[in-house]
Amino acid sequence: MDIFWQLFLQGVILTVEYALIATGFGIIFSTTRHFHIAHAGVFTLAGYTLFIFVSLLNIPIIGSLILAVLIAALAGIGIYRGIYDQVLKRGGTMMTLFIAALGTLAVIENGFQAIFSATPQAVESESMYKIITIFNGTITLAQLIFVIVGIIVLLGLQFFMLKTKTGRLIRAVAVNPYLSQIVGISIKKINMICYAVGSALVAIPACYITIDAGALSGRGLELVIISMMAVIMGGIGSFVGGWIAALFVGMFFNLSVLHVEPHWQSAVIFVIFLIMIMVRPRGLFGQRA
Amino acid sequence: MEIVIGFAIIASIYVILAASLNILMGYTGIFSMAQGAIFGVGAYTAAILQTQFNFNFIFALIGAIIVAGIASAIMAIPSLGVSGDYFVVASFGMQMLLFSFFMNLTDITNGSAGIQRIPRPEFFGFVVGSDIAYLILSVVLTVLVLLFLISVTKTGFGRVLRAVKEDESVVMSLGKDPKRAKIVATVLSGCVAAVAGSLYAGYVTYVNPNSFTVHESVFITTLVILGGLGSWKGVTVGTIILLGLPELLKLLPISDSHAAPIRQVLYGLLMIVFMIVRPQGIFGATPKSSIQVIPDEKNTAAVIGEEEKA
Repeated sequence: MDIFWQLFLQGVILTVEYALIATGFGIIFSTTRHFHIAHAGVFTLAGYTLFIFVSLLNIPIIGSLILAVLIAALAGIGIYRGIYDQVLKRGGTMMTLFIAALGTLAVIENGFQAIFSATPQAVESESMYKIITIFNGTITLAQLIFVIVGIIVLLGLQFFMLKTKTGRLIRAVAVNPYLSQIVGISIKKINMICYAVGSALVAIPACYITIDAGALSGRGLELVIISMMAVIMGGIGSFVGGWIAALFVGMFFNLSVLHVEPHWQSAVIFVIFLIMIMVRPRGLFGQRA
Repeated sequence: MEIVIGFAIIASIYVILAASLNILMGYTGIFSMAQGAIFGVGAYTAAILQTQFNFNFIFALIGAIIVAGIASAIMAIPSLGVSGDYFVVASFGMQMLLFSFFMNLTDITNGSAGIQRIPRPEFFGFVVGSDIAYLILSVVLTVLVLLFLISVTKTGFGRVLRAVKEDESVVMSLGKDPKRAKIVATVLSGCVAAVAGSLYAGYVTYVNPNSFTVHESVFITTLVILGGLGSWKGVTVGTIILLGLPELLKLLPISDSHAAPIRQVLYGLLMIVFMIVRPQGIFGATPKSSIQVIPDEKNTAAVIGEEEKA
């Protein structure tokens, strides 16, 4: 029972990681239809930014965290305006955009690897590793803060999307960009907001992982791909669907440890994804495929 | 001289890989991120059949083609019925899954240590032992593959593929099944990548998982895109140029651990710049701009008309 509880706690942490990445990718993809694979690059960038601020510039960790999230948001806007928009402006298709995104990912991932080598760069912060006991399970302070912040951010975002004007505009653009443009919504502005929000969301787990295990190029890609599967399984455009899928994936990775060998877990998730898109291509809560 | 022959063998292997992806991306407009892993499936299957089951090169090659075709079908059949975006995710998943197989199916693949002592191909008692002989074999296979693929694109099936890329509904209205055409193209592409894999295994006589990572998939994609999607000249000349480019980096005083990521950064930058300035790649045909000159309002109005009808 103790092992089960401990695995459950780990499952909650992983769920929040996937939910944040999936929601970030989902808000960008459902609104812009850009296949933003460089989302994984923003993850890497945020992780190394935190490392640079804390370990190299000695800025207090709270300040560094805020700065890392802000810089990730700016990087997201920068990628959209500086690269994707330039591609589309010259008559590029979604395919050319994806290729440019792939190039962006390669530049970010390998650029950091060239600078910081292929070993993880850990942030030394003793206070963050303090062990906290919850019933019979233990987690670190960093993990506890991450889960609480993550859940608050996700719920706040859901409120923002449903109750505020900007949130409604984003949903309008996601449903019908052409009509939205006609009623005077600036698509470019909405897209920029989505990139900023989505990139800030992916920065949160990136910072947590940098504290927990260190920043490392390439660490984000697998997380982002599994999150994309979660977005599709949950239904594009539905946050709650994505969270349920993230919960399923996060819990599966931990609770199945006793029955499924770790290296087969991704395989099982992938097979479930393939079955899901065959049986129900629009996902759990998706409007359309 | 040895270096030149070695480079030429590797180049011919990558020309086959680029050609395999050209059918998929250039002609059919499907984006796969699993080509590196499918290449690996070909290499591993050929290696295993030759070392453990004493198959000769030809039968090992056929086996590799079949297994890689099946792996391609597994990712293509569920996802291509939905959309290209789903296929990208599915192919990423396949890449991860296959890499995990190479790493963890230790009974078959020997894990991270890989498979060693793969024999050089043998034909009727003649062993293709020397590098120059291997180069001849590689070039012959490359030419055969290219001729085969080019002739495929000239058949009715090839025209269906190109039509699928332009407009699927037109294909459907002509009574052809775009989904089936896309699945066949994916399987064909996987089979061709297996030829490259078998050649690779026979040349280096050693395979391990690190040769078939997601970076390899991205690299093969880069070759096709920068050479020019749909351009056979891009597949051949472009691939050789792009493979030669990092050799120039070796002239600069950069340590080996830095050279690999810097090479990737260079390719990434090339990809971004090309997509903005010249999306058709080095040798791709200039798109006919006359089609693009539809006034914006008209276009929007047409789209709204469609929405209302729907």
